[in-house]
Amino acid sequence: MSWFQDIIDSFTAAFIEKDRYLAYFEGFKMTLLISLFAVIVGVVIGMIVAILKYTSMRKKGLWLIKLITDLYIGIIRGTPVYVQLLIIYYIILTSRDTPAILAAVICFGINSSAYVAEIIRAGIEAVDKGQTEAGRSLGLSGVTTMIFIVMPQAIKNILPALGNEFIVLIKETAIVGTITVMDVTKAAQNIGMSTYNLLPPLIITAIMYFVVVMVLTKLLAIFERRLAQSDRR
Amino acid sequence: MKKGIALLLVAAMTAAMAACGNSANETKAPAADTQAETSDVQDTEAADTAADTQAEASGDSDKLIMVTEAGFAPYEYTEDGQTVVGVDVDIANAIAEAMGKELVVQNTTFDGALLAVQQGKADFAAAGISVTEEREKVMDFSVEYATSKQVVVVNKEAGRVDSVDALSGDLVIGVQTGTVADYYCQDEGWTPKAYGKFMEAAMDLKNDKIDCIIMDALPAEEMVAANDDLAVLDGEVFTDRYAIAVQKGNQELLDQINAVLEQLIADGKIEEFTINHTTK
Amino acid sequence: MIDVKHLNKSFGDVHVLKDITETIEKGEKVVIIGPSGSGKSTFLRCLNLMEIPTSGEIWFEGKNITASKSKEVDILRRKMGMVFQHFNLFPHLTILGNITLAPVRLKLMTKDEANKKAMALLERVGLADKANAYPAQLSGGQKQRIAIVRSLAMNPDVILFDEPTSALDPEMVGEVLDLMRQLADEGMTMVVVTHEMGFAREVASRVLFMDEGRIVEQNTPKEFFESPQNPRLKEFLSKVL
Repeated sequence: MSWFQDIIDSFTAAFIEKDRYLAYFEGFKMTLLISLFAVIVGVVIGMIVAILKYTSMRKKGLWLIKLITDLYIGIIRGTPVYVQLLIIYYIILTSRDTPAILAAVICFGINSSAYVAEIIRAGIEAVDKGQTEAGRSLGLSGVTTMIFIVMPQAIKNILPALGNEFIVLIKETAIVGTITVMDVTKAAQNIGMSTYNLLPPLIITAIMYFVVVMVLTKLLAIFERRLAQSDRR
Repeated sequence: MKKGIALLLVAAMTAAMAACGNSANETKAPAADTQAETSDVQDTEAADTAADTQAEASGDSDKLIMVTEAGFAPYEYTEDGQTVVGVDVDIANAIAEAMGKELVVQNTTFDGALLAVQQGKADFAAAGISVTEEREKVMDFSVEYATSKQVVVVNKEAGRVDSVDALSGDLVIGVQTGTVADYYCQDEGWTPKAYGKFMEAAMDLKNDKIDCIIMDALPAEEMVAANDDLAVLDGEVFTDRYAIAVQKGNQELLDQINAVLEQLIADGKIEEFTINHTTK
Repeated sequence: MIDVKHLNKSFGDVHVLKDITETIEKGEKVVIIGPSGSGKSTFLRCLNLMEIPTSGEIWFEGKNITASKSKEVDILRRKMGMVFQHFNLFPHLTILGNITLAPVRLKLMTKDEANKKAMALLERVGLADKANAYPAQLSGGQKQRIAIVRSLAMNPDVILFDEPTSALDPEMVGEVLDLMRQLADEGMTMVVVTHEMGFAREVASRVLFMDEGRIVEQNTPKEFFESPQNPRLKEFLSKVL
C-alpha cells in the first residue's frame, strides 16, 4: 500500500504543509474577484457597444459607427485573450504603478465586453418585433418603447447568458499568473514548484474550479427556470 | 440609470485597486501611497524615453519592485505557495534596505520578467539571469554575483543520456524558455523543448517523455533531492554567471545595486544566503 | 379624416402598393378584403406609418404625416389605435399595466385616472376580474379584447384592425367580432382588414377589394357582395363565400 501512502503524502504536502491551503483560497478569491469585476466592466462597455451596434445597424448614416463596432467585436473575438493580456500589461499599461490586477480586470473586461455586446444585441433582437410595433402604435417613442417594453423582456434572455459569461471568465482568468497576479492556478504552480510535484496542486486546483463552476451552473439553471416561470404566470 | 452604471464602474475599479494592495503576489503588502511626484529632474544620460519614465518611476516611489520567476530554487521559490523567497530575494532585500525603500516582489514567467524590466514595469529583475550579448543590447546588468554550472538532469531508470559529452541534437532536451540553457541549445543547432516552468519539464522527464533537462546546478540538486527518479550527471555543460538586470540606461539604480552586491560578496553574505536556502 | 394620395410601397424589388388614392371619412367603418399578398395589410400599416411609404402622401386630421417629424408622428399615433393579428400584449405587464402603460408614460393621465379608466373599460368587456392577471393566463379571444381595450384607453379617433381574428380558434372569433360591432355601433371610425365576410356584410359602411397592390373595387356591402363587377372579385368571392 505504499503507493497509496505516497499519494496521501503528496497531497498532504501540496495542501496542508506550511499552510499551503491558504494559498489556494487566497488565489481563488483573486480568481473570483477578477472574474466578477471583469464581467461588470464587460457589461458596462458591452452595453454601450451593443447600443451603438444596434442603432447603427438600423440607420445607414451611421455606417462608420457600425464599422468601428464590428471591428472592435471582430478583433477582440478574433484574437486569443492570452495575447490581449500580454499586450495590455506589457505594451499599453506600461506605467510602473499600474497594479497587475487592474490590468487583468481591464483586459478580461474588454474581452468580455465583445461577447456581452453580442449577448445583449441578440437578447434584444429575440424580442418579438410585434412588441415594438405595439408600443409605437400607442404613440410611445422608440426610446420609451425600448426601455419599458423591449428591455424588460430582453433582460430575461440576457441575464442567464451574463451569468454564463461569469462562469466562462472564472476559467479563462487562469492565465493571469503570467502578469504577476496570484490567482489559484498560479498558487498551484508555486506550490508544485516548491514541492517538486506539480500534479497534486493541479488536481486540487482543478477540483476547486470544477466544484465552483458546477455550483454556479446549477444556481444559474435554477435562476433561469425562475425567469421562465414568470413568463407563464 | 447612467449614474448607477458609472458608480458601479467606479466601485469596480476601486475595489480592484484595493484588492491589489492586499493580495497581489508581493512579499510585503505595500502601503498604497502614490506620492505626488516631486519635480526634481533625474539625470537622464540615456536618450531614450523609456529610460525617462523608468528613472522617474523608481526615483519617486517608495517601492522597489523586483520581478522574478519563482520556480528556480534556491534563488527564487515559494514555500507556502504565495510568498516568494530565495537567494535573490535576500539580495533584493539588502538592496531595498540600502536604498531605504520597501521591496515588492512580482512573480511572473522568466521571459515575462525580462520583458517587465525592459518595459520599466519593474525596477530590476533578479531571476538567476545570465549575462548574454543579446540581453546586454536591451537591458543593463549589475556585477555578477553568483556562478552557475549548467548541468544535465536525467531519468535514472530510462537512462537516455549517460554523460555530458553525449548531448546531441538527436536527444529531446528540456529547458526553461528564455534561459541560457535554451539559448545554448539553439546555438548548438539543437531544438530544445522549452517549458514555462522547470517543474513541467521535470514531470515530462519523470514520465520519460524527454531525455534530459539542461539547467542550473543548484536548482537541479534541489529538484533531484525531491525526486528519486531523477539524477544529475557528473560534469557541467558550461558555466554561467548571474547578474541583476535593470532597464537600459538606468545607471543610477545600477550603481546602487552594484554597491550593495559588492558589499555582500565581500562579506560572504551571498554564500550564506545560498546555504540558508539549500540546507533545509 | 384620412387622405391617402398616390401611395406607393416597395419592399426591395417587390412593388406591393401601386399608386393608391383613397379617403376615409370620420365615422366610416371601412373593411378591406382581398387575397393574401394583395397588399391590404401593408396598406393598413402605412396609415399609421408602421411601414414607411416609398412615395405618396398620407394626411391625417389635416396633417401630412408622411412629411412630419418622428415626434409629431408619435403624437398623431395616439389618435390612431391599432389592433394586431397576434395581439402583441406586453407579457411582462399585468392586464392593467398593458392598458395604462401608454397613457401614463405619455403623461396623458395620472396613474389613478388611467387605472380608473382601464377598470371601466375592462368592466365593459367583462374582463374586470383579469385586471391583475398576466397575458399568458388569458385565452386568445380574451387577449384580443384586451388589445382592443388597450387602444381604446388612448381615446383614439380611429382604430386600425389588422386581421384581428385570424390567429384565433374559431370558437373565440365571435367574442372579438361582437366587441368590434359594439364599437362600430358607438360610432368609432374603423379600418378593418379581415377575412370575416359576415362581419364585412353586417358592419361595414364600405368594403374595399384589393388585388395586386391596387384597390380594384369598392362599394356598400350590399352592392359589393350581391353584384360584384370585377372578375377577380367575383372569383375571390366565389371561393370565400
